[in-house]
Amino acid sequence: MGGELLRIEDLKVHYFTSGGVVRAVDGVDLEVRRGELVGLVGESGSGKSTLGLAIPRLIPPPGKIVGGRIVFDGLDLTELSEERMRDIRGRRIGMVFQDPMTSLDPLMKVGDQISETILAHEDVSKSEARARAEELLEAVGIPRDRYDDYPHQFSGGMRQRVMIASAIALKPDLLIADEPTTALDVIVQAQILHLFRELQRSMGMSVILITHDMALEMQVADRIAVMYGGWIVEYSPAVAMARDPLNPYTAELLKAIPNIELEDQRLVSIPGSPPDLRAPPPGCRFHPRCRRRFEPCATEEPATVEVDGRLVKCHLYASGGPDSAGGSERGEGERENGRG
Amino acid sequence: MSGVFGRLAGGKLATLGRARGIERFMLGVGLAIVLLVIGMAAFADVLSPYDPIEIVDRPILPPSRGHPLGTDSLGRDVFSRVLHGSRTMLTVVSLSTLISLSVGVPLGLLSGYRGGVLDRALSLVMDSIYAFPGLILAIAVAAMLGPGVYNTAISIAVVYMPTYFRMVRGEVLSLKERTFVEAARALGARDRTILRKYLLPNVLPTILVVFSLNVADAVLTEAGLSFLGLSVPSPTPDWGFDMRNGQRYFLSGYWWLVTFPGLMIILLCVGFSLLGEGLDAILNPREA
Amino acid sequence: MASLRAYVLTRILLTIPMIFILLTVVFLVMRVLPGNPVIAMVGMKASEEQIRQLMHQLGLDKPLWRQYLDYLSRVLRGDLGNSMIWGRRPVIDEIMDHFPATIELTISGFAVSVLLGIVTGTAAGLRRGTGLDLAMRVYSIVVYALFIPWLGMMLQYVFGVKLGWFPVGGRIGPMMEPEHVTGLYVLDSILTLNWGSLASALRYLTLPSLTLGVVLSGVYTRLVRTSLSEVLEQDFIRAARSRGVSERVVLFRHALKNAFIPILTMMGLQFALLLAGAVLTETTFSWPGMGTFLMERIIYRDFTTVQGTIVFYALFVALVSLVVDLIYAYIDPRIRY
Repeated sequence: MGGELLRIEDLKVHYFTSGGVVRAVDGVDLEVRRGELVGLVGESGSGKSTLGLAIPRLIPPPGKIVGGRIVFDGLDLTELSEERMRDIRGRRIGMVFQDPMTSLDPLMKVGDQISETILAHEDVSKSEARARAEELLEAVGIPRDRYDDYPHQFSGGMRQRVMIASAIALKPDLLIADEPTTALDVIVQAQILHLFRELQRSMGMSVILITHDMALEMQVADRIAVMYGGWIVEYSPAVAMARDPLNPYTAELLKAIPNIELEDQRLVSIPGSPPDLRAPPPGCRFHPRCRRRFEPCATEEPATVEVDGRLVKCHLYASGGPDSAGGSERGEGERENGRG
Repeated sequence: MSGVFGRLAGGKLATLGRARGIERFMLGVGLAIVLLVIGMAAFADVLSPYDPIEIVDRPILPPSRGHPLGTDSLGRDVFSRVLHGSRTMLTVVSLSTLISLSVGVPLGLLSGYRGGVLDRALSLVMDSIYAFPGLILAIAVAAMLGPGVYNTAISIAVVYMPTYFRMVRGEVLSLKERTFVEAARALGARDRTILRKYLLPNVLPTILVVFSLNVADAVLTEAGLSFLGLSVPSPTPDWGFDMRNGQRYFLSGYWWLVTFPGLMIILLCVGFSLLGEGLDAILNPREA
Repeated sequence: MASLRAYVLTRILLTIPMIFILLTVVFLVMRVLPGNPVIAMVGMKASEEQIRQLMHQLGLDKPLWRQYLDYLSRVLRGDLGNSMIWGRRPVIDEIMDHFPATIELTISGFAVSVLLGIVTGTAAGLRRGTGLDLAMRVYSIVVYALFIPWLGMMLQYVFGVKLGWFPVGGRIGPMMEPEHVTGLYVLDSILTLNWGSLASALRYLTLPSLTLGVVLSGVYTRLVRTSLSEVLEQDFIRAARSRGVSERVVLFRHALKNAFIPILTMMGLQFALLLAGAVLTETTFSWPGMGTFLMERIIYRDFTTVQGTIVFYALFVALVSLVVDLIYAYIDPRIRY
C-alpha cells in the first residue's frame, strides 16, 4: 500500500434548506492511501453520499462546503477554481453512482458516454476516443460491438459496467463509488464487486466504496469508515473492525449483518432512528440510541482519538473514561493492520 | 352546492393563506385586474362621459380633457367605448365559459366514470376538436351562425369544451380508484350520487385552475373573432372590433383608436393568466 | 427496427379515425348547427326562390345522411368543390395559391418562437427561484396575452412608419416574385439564386413572423423552463459532470437534448396554435395566406370555399400531428429500437 492520496480535514458540508440548515457532513477527517479500498458505511441520511459528492465538489445547491480542507495529492480541492476542478473530475477522480438506470443519458449511445470522459480531457480524435472506449467496454466485460447501443437496451448490471468504464477511462487515482450495487440483484452485485476489486488491483487506484451494507464492505474493503449523523465515528482496518468494533455503533451495525450459518434469520435492527441533522442531539449524536452511554455522552461532543492506529469518536475511549473495559478486552485481541 | 364549496374552502383553499410570496402576489394582482375590469363593466354607465354609440364630436380627435382617450373614426368617445367594451367582452366570455363548462364537465365525468366504448368515442371526438386550431374552428362556427352575443359565445364554447372534458375525465380516472370512491360504491351508493357527491367536489379545484387559464384564452379568441368582424354587430362597443375599425387610421399616426382597446384585451388576459397561475401553484403544489 | 415500423404503422392507422372525426366535425359545423348556412351566407335579404335555388345547387336539400356521404366521398377523392364566385375555380387550386404563404409565415414564426422560447426558458430553468426566473415567468404570461393584431400594429408603426426599416404589409416587393418552384418565396429565391427577391421577401417576412413568434414564444418559455429544470435534477447530469465535461456540454449535449423530448410531444398542438395565430397575423399584415383568403371568402359568402378551406385545415393539422409523432419516434431511441 502506497502513501497518502487523499486527506480530508474537518470537512463541513451543510444544506441550506427552507426548513433549516442540514449539517449533512459536520467535521469529518478521513485519509485514503494509494491503492487502498476504503469503505464508507452508514445508514441513509448519515452523510456518506454527501461526503462522496463533496470530494469532487459536486454538491448540488442548496448544499455548500462550509469548512475544512480536501487535500488530494497535495492540492486543496476546496480552493481550486471551477475550471481546474473540472479538469480533475473524470481525469484524476472518477465516480460511479447508485442507480445505473438513471445515471446514463438515455439519448446518448453508451459508448459515447465513455468516450465523453476521454474527449473532455484529452486532445484526441473522435475515432481514437472510440477505439479506446471499445477497449474499455471489453475491459468491463461488454462486447465492443455494443458501443452504438442505447442505455435502454442494456440490463442494470451492464449499465453499471458502462458507468464504471466511463469512470475509469483515464485511469483516475481515485474512484468514488456511491452504492454502486444497491440497485442490482445479488448475483450481478457480486460480479460488479469482483470487477471493482480486479480493476483496482490492476490499475492501482484508490477506491472509496460508499454503501449502507456492512457485510459487503467486510468482503472487499481494506479499511472501513463508519459514518453516523454527519460524523465518522470509527475508522479501522476491516479485519480489526470485524473482530473488535471500537464504537458501540459499529458493534450494532455488525450485529445487524444477517448470518447465513445461523438458523435464526431475524434481522437485528438498531432501535431508534437516525438523528435529524437540522437539529442534531447535543453531545454525542448517537447517545439517544447507545446502549453504553454515560454522563458526558449527552452533553459533550466526543473527540476523535487514536487507539492502536485506529480512529474512534466515542467517550468510551477518551482519557478518563468510566472504565477501561472496552480497552482491556480489546487489548487481548490480535493487532491487525489491514490486509493489504 | 354550498356543501361543495364548503368542502373546498375547508380543504385546499385553506392553503391559500400559506402560499409562497410570489404565487400569492400573482394571485393578488390577477384578482385585482379581473375585479377592476368587472367593476368597469358594472359601472360603465356611471363612469362614461358619453353614450358609447352616439356621435358626440368630430372624428379622430386626439386625447384631450373632454375626451380622455380621444374620439374614433365616426366621432364617438373612445373612453366610453372602452368602458362599455368590457361589458361585451365579459358577457361573451362568461356565457361561452358557462356553455363549455356545462357540456364539458358532465361529459367528462360520465366518460371517465363509465369508461368503455362511450369513453373511447367521446375522447376521440374531443381530442380531435382539441387538436384543431381553436380560432379557426371558432371562425367557422361564427361564420355559419352569424353575428351576435349568443352566437359568438357558442363559437368560443365549442373550442374550449374539450379542454374541460379532458381535464375532468383525467381527474375522474385517477379518483375512481381511490378508496373513498370504492368504499362508496361498495356501500351501494348510486352512480349519480358518487358522481355528484364524491367526484365533482374533488375535481373542482382543478376546474378552477383550468377555468381561469381558459378564460384568458377565451378573451383572446373573442378579441380575435371580433377583430375579424365575426363577433357582435356594429355599433356595439367591442374592443376587438374597435381595433379593426381603427386599423386604417392607425398607421397614419392616429394611435389612440387601436392602442387603448388593445391594452384592455392584454390587461384582462394577463389578469386571468396570473389568477390561473397563482391558483395552480397553490392548489396543485408540485415542488417543496 | 421492427418495432419502429410497428409504431409508424399504428400511428398512421390512428390518423384515420382522427381525420374522419375532424371531417365530421366540420360537416356538423357547416350543416347542422342552428341556422341555415345559405341564409348565413347570402344574407337575410335573399328571396325565398334564390335560397331554394342555391340550396338545390349545393345539394343542401337532400337528406342529411346523404349530404354527409356525398361530402365524405368527395373529400376523400380530394375534391373540395368549386368556388361560388370568380370563375368557379376548384377550391383546392385556390387554396394552393395561398397555402405556401401561410407555410412560409408559420415556419418563420415557429423559428422565432422556438428560439426566443429556448433562450428565455433556459435562462429561467437554469436559475430556478431567482429574480431572472420570475422575470421570465412574467415574460411568458405577458407575451402570450399580447393580442396579435395589437402587437403587429405597434411593430408596423415603430419599425414600418417611424423608422421605415420594414414594409408594413404584403409579402414581397412589386415585380420581385421569384420564379415559382415551391411557392415559398424565401426558398424559391435561394433555389433560383435570385438575391434581390430574397432580400425583399425577408424584409416583408420580418415583422409578421416577429409578431407571431414573439406571442407564441411564451408557451415555449414555460415548456423549456419546466422541462429543463426537471432534466437538470436527473442523475445522468451529475454523472456527466463527474466525468469533467464543461457546463456548456452538460447543458447542450445532455440537458437541452433531453428537455426537448417532452416539448416535442407537444409540438403538434403548438402547431395548431401557430396556424390560428397566423390567421390574425395575416389579416393584420395583409399577408396573402390561407387566413386572409378564408376571411375574404367569408365576407363574399363563398360557402363551398369556406367549407373547403376548413376541411383543408383539418387534414393539414392531422398530417402535422402525424409528422411530429414520427419525428419524435426518430429522435427518441427508446421508441426507435
